[in-house]
Amino acid sequence: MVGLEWCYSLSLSLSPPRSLQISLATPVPPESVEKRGLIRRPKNRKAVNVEAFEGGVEQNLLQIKGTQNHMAESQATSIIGMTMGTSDTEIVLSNTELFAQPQLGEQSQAGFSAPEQKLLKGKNPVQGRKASNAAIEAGVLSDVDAKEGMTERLQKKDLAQDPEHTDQMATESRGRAVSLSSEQREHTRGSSYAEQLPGADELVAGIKYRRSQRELSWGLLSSDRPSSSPSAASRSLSRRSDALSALQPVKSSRPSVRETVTHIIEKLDDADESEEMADVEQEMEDDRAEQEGAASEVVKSPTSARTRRLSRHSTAMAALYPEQSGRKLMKEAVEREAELDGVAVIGEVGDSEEEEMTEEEAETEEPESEELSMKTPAFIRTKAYRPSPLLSTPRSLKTAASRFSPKPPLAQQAAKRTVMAPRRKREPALPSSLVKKIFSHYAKVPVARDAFKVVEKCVEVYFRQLSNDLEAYTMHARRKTVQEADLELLMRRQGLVTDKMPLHVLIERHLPLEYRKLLIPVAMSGNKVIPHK
Amino acid sequence: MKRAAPRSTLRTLIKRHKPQLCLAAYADLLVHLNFLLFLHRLAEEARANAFESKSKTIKSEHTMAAAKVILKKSRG
Repeated sequence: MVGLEWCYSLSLSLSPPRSLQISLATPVPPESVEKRGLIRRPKNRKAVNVEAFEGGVEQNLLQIKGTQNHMAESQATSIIGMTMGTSDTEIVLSNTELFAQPQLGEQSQAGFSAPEQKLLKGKNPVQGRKASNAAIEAGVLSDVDAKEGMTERLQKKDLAQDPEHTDQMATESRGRAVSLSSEQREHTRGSSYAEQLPGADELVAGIKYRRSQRELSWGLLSSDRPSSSPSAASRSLSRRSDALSALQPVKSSRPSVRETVTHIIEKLDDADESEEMADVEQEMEDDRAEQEGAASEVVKSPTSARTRRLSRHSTAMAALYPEQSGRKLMKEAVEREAELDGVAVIGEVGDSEEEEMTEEEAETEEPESEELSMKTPAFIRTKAYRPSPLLSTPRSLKTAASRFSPKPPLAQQAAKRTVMAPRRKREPALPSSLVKKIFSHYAKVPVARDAFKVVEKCVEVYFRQLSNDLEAYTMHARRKTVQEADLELLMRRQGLVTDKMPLHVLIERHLPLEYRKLLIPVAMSGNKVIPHK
Repeated sequence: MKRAAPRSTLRTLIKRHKPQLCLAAYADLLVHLNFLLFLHRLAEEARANAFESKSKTIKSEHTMAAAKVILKKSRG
């Protein structure tokens, strides 16, 4: 009875606190809302980064090789593009990705891929594309680094959220589509943009306009695809606007610039093709064929490797090669770029790209794009810039954007690289110096450096075989620890230990120092045995 | 001018391949001995190949051919 009364009192007393409960409940929804937002971002980031990174890398490589030749032309074209108009600006913005100058290579590469794709889809006249290319190149000049970093981040966000600014995204996506591997969206938009390209003047205006739009779009976090591209496009646009404003009076050189731009775009497309879907490639092929014809004149100037790549791309595109082949081309292109540049940094970039690509191939394009996006800003800054590892991308982007120095000292890059390196786990491996020493000591004749690499691989295989055999012997003896007897059995089966050659003799011959004493029991006076058994 | 055997590295290597296995106290020294003898045989074979092609230095192709033979031999 008392308990019941107590319960009643409790119930009565509970009613007042209900308001408290209610008040407590209110804050929950907002948190959940916030959570959703937070949750979304990380998901998209990954996808975007990889694509952007890969695209950026490719663009950088292409830019470095081609931009140098077309720097002047690109600037002119970029200016023209700026003046084109808003519609053109979109195209120009994407074009900025293509990059007018070598430094902007990263940006331009991403831009090229995106604008090229879009251009191809639109099947606009080559000139139109060229104009856009010019604009892109111009835009790439200065703000590329900063913008790229921003666009990459934005892309991540965008991916998470639906496209609020589809228009903005489209333009941006063109630029970034390549890097972000948002091929499909880019294509549709690219076509529309391509048509608009022919207005060089408009481009300049458009770029600035785009920039604002992009920034807005970023904040809104539009759709996944557009987000990635818009960020890239915005970057390119911003860059272009800066470049265009500086370069204004180049209209006369439009046609040449356009050619170069188209050429560059083709290159970017090639690089980006691997990333993009087959659809994009197909469209691009058609457009490229046109562009390449126009840009063939311009192409001659670029390095032979680039032309090779372009030609390959063109042929490949015509054949509608699958993504994989595209990827291979990209890898090859990267490798070639490394070779052509002859710069250690570039080679490292290529290697890192390849490594990253191979390592992360299973992870699909996203990681690659991230890497590329990371590398893009670096390249834009300088040729010597080394792409930092995926993890360090944001830092590198920020630093690249902030500095944007034509040739950052290699030391800086090296320092960055070393800082990044420890993040990766180091695989345990025998010190190569030890292997080299032992091998040359046993060989007694000079050994070529390439031969050491073969020896290194041999050693890896050997250790794998060794562990397998030891495990087999130990399991056979129903033990879990490998004993010396197991080792002796192994050597006997290998033919090292025979009846005529006991193990102890081998130990005395080859093992140095006190290992002999540890292994071979020696009887000492006084009934002592060393080592003590 | 012999160097000390990298005992911990050897143990880590085997652990990576076969985590369920562990080495006895001085078994890793014998592993190092086995490794030295393997390199010895590889170097001898590569040197023989180089002499056959009348070159005074060991090139990668000599090593490659030697590796195929010796790896086959050193399978327990």
